Amino acid sequence: MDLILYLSPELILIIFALLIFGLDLLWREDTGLRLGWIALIGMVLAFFATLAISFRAAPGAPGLPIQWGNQVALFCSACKGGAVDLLTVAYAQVEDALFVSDNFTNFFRLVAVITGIGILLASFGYMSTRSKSRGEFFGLFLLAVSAMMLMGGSTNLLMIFLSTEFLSYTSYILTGYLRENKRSNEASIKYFLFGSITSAVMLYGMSIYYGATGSLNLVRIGAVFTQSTELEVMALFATALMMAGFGFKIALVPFHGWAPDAYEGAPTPVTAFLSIGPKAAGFAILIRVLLEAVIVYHNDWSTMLAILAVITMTLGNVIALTQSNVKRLLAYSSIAQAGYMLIGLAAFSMSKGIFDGLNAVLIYIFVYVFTNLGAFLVVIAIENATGAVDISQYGGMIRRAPLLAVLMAYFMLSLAGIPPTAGFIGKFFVFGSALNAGMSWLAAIGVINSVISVFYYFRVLRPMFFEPSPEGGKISVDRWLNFGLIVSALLTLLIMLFPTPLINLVSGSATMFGLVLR
Amino acid sequence: MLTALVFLPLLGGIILLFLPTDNAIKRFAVIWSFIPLILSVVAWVIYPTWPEFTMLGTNCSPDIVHASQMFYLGECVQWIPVLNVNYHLGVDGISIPLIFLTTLLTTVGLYYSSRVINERVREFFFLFLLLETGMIGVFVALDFFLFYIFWEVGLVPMYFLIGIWGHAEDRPHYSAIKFFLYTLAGSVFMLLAIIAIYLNTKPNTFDIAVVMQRANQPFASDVFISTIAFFGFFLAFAIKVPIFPFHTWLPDAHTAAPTAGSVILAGVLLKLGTYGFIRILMPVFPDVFRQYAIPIAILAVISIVYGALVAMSQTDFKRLIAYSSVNHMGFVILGLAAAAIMTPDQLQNQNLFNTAASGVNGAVLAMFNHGIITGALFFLVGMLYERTHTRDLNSFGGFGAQIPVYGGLLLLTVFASLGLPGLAGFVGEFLVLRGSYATLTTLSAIAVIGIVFTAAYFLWRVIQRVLLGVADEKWAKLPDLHAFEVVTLVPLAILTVLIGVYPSWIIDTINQASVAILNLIGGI
Repeated sequence: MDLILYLSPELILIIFALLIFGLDLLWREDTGLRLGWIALIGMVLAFFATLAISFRAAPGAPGLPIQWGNQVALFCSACKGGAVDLLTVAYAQVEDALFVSDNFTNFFRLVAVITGIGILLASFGYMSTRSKSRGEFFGLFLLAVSAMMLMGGSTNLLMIFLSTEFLSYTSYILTGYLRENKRSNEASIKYFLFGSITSAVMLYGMSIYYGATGSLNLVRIGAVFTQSTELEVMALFATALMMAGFGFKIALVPFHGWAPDAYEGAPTPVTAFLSIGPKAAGFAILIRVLLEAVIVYHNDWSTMLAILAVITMTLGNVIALTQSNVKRLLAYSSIAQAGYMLIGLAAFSMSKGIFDGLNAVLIYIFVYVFTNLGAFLVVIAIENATGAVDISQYGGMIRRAPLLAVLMAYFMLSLAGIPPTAGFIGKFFVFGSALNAGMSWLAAIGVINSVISVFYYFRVLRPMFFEPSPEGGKISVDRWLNFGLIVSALLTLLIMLFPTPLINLVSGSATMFGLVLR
Repeated sequence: MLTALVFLPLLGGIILLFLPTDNAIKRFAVIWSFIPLILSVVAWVIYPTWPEFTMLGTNCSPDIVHASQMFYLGECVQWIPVLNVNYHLGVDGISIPLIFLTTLLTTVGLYYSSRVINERVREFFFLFLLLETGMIGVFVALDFFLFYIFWEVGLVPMYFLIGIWGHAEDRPHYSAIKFFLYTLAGSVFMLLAIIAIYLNTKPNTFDIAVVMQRANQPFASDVFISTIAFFGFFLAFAIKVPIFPFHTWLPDAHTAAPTAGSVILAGVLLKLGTYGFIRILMPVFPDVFRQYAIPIAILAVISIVYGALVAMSQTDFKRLIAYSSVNHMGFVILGLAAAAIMTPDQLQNQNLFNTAASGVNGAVLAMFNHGIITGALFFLVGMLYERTHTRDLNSFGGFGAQIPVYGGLLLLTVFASLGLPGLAGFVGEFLVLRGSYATLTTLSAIAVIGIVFTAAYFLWRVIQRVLLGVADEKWAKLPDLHAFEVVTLVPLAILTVLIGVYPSWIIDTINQASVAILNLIGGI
């Protein structure tokens, strides 16, 4: 029973996905958006299920007698088919768990389900005009979101590999979903080829882990590495190989080659998903592996990540300068954004201070979800109405769709990290963590990059505000898309004005299964 | 009180988004802008009697209250407790005149714009009021985090003001993004410096008033970190002022901006930089500032002389005024550098203390004067442009006889700007030189040569080319100033004369704050 409870968000999504596949067969004829509605209901249920399992009763707490932080381990020898509360049991007894539902997992479950709801709202209008077979789309999408959640909680190399591949395969299909569209097919193939190779390399790294330590479990691997320092070279080599797999998901340079083409060709809601979902989930796994398995070599991988961060953000930003297609531009921008997140991880300082790198990276991810989602919702709204995806076609948007133009300006400011936006809070913590860890040079390169990025973010705004409208009248936006937009914008503003709840949520989530700060 | 002053403009901007017609928007914006103007006058009158805090919500810690003794009308509420970020506002004799300058120029600018802006009216007035919120916010913020946010908030509206309402032939898009990127490039380093201060204070704090207290000097021990942090701030402020060689954004932005935008840009936005010098660099980094005061003073003198020489070679009226800003702002920095160079021991000496105080007073007064005088000059340029549709100085001439009211006001403003005794500009620059002569004798002497160049370009390029000579045929039907244009200029002209003849009312206000800051540095 406990098992079902603590896997309920994933189970709900999978059940609804199967339900949609089934109903799609039954209602062969024009299903309208009924299946989309069912998917949305599933998503909302999963959201509440996540909330339900992430809080624990806390008698005597001020206000509601509950608090964030309910941690259990699942699928372990001590679990006996149920769940073991991590607050009452020593880690040593449950370190063979395959999956944990800890604060960190729940944080990424929230990120996944919020992303899912936002993108679902955006895809109603988009899919109903472009594809006849919508059922599979919604079903696959639910599966992709559940894969994200599974990635967040995997603590075993096998689970990590399976859930990563689960997310990859659903993403490949979603990318190529517009069957008649050549670009969509091309994007899917490229994505698939790139993904298979990096998976293979990652698997190789995992096999070295196993060979060296005799365990698939991250915590146990970590214990072995900590004791036997003669394994250092092997451990770091294997970690570097695994970085290929994670780097592919996150779209880090030099594993970013697929991103621009996949982003451009995929249906735009899927592009939005690719720019958030796999990135966040990839970070979840990367963080788990680094902090649970090779924390002892923290100094080594921290330098490696810092260098990767510099390359990633610089390359992403510089190439984004020359893009004229909005989807490609946002693709390179999201590569650069991953670079900023990496700064936070590189600056992980084991200090548990407020400016710790782990806090920073989680805050940045959360903030990035709303901001990037919002930007993509604007792009989708404009594409739905006019088919335009080129910056030059955005002329005069302030006349044609004032709300879209203003919100786009706001999201672009947020992506660039200029207050008063949530993006500023993210950058503030990321750069702060770098300074806190004594990596001032990294912070300096980071801020220079964020100045460069303003140039292309504002290039999108320039035609929208400064140039006359080439053709066409008002643009109408469908109700659900509008709702998603306004919620994203409000949250982007609210996180800036009242960041305390987010900071508390994040510092609560940074306590992770098996992470013993030494 | 201060919260109202900061956010009322924004509230007005939001209200006017829902007004039906352009005329209603214009009328509403102008009338609404009188509220902050009146509030700033009231604040000026009552602030010395109001040293205690107004607490809003959860109180700030006692050490903040204790540290803010030199500030008035204080307001403080915890904002992000985990980071120790507070919503902490307060004013002293330096910020009060600058707030008044901001609200005055905004009202005047809105009034003038309500007659000349007829395109995308709603956006224009909204952005203008948003800009006012950002500017006042910088002058009242006493928390680094808050300071940074207001600092950046002012940036975005200005970008759109230049880009949308700029003159098409001046490449407004290019100038707008150049302005934005330059300013941002400086301010991101300020952000890093702010975080560095937080990380190096015990207990960690973002509070400007707390960090200012000598006992809490975060960097007294670590020279390297304090130097880096100093230059983080310095870069942000130097670009904003702008000091040579960071000034290249300024002529483009000024030229491209619409008239009221140029007025605010020159009148207030440049002051944000010098205000940062006084509010942050001097009290927070006295040792580092002292160490680098001479190089900074040299840059200031280069700005003075170079600004004047470049202004002299301009044929575009507006660019000439823009470069004159580089020239005048150099004096402000010179005055501050001269005060910053004093060691605490020297400040114990009453004579030297007075010298330093006169440098700071002169600098702040020069800021205020530059705001009203250059503001008026940009209005005058804009008014001439509305009539002639050109700013080419070579095509003008003989306007003194043609449009005498215009000529008279231009003459007054130009004389004030070049420092004629009896008008405002003289008082500020005189005090600066009085402050700098004792410690920076050679540089002061060179700066005085700069004044000669200033007189040269104003008399030779402006007075001679515009007012004297024989008018071209094509200007025969030029109308003189309309009533609304006179109304726009008169408040500025009155202040110019008033400060020139009787400056002590404003100097007394400023002096109280400069003395407090110098006492802090001198440990007196």
